[in-house]
Amino acid sequence: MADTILEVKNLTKYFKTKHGMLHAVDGINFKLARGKTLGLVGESGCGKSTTGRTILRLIEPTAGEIIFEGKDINKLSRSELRHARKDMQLIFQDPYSSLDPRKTVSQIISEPIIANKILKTSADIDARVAELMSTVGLAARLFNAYPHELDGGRRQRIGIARALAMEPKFIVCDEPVSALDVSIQAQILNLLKELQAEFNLSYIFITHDLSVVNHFSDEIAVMYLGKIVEKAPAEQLFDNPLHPYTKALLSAIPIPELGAKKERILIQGEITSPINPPDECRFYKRCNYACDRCKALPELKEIAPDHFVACHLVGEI
Amino acid sequence: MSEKAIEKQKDLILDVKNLNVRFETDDGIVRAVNGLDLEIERGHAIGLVGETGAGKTTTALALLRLVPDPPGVVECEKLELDGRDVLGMGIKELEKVRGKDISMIFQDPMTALNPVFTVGDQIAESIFLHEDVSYVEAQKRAVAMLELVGIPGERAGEYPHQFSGGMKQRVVIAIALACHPQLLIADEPTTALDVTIQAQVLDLMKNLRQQYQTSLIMITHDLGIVAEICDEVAVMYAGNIVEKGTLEDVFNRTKHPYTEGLFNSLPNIRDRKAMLTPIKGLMPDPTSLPEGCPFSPRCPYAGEDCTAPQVVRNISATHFVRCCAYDRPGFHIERKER
Repeated sequence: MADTILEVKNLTKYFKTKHGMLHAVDGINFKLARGKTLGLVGESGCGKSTTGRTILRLIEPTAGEIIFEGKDINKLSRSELRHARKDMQLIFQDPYSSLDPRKTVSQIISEPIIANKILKTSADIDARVAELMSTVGLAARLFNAYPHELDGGRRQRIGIARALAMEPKFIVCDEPVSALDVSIQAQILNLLKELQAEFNLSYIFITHDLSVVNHFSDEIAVMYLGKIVEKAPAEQLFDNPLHPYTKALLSAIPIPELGAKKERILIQGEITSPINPPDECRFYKRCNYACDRCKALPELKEIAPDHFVACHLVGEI
Repeated sequence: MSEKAIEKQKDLILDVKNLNVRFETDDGIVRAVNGLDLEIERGHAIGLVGETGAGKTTTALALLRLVPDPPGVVECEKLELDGRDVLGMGIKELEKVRGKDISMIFQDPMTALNPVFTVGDQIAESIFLHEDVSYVEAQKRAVAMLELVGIPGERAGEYPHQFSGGMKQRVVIAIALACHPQLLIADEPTTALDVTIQAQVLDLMKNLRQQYQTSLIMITHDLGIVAEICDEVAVMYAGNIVEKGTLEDVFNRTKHPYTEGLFNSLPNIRDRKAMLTPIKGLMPDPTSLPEGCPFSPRCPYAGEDCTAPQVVRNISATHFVRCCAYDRPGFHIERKER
């Protein structure tokens, strides 16, 4: 077994609403190897962001274990957690709302350094901030600039520099390029890849953009209504998707090439309610292949080496 | 047939010449659209592609004469819709054209609908205003439109908040198509939607377009959507079209360095190990555009000739590029023909 940095066992997060229990994340399991990227894909409301935040315990999980570097994050006290979080960081989706508009670039990047008392003197702190800024490709003249003076790509670089300030081992990237234009998106994706190689970072990469996740991840987990429905190495998932939802999802990607027309699998309707979902396959109501067997909840089973699928009909469709 | 004769035969639904839009703000003059020419043949679908700030949406608003004034100033040599001069129209006449002959689907379905009216009423309003029918009749047709876009007719009495994002976008499409417009402008109609819902909506738009022979301007940043739904592509940069042609022209015989850069920035779904080649730098500030070609500061092929005012080079009858590098002998971009 490769060196595992993070293992999530039966991670569950329910939210209480006035209409009933909302199953945001419903007993998911996965492992992340050191220096690798796990892509978490799915449509809005499938629980991918909640998963990312629950792993960092920014949201308290309802149940489950989050074993990071051999320790169960879920069992740590507040002060232990504070210490552990230095190794685990988060990059947010929206570079427009995740930066304090009243702080300068250097104040934003130095905040975690000061809060964790990593460096004491202001000269040391400034030097570290300048170093981080050059690592993420921010010009030194922006040291005292405010976020509103900068475009989305540069703001996202600030978010990345802030996440790197603690020299983390593991970063949850929650849709880090969704708000950016394609040419800028490519710059940020390349930067994240270079940083991964340089600092041996492990990523959980949350996105709804399948061509980005394919490019970026070593392994991909597809989520649907709080469950992982399929998980496989990126290449295998794209070459040989087995779950009907994954198949439909992949066939729905518009490909910027002519003659790339392929069979499109349209699925009916929209994602069903995550509130008190019945004990049937979560995809039952929209699946083109649904039959009586699907009224029992399928388990995530290993079909081929490292290829997991939660569907009763694998091999038959 | 000579080229002139072909020219005359073109059945144009939209003919725009030298469109300029600027916004006069306290911080300076924002030059959003700069001398844009656009011809669209009846029944054709053209994709208007470009990044944030390229002037795509401003162009669309200018076509409908919806640019807020002040601060917006629109100057245009010619703006004809189906042979009729839109520039000279009074406000009454314009209101008859908008929503009837030319309609628009806005980007965000969450804010495009009025929260205090039922969706049925919002569709019926457009029919009632533009066609000589009673309100009851208009509502009947609204229900039919709703079913056409795949929403059960009995939901006509519900309010926008009772619908999901994909459903709301279908309602917006139903409103836009209610009077069978000749030209439909869709401004990023699926950007706010999930991929499987996006596939449903694109499928719907394709079918409806075939059914009604509607001409379409599809504004998008997604070249994949263009490949799927359009006949022609116009790539916009800093307020002007830098390359235009048929899908084959632009996708397979790319000529403009910016178009090349856009393609190279996209992750290739077939070759996941390939490194992305982003375009260096950023879009120019529209208050101080560089002299000559606005792309030249970011262009890997830029030379001294790029500071001269850019003129259009015709590659073929359907394909043109706004790049002076093609005057250099033997010039070609690195992206290979496919």
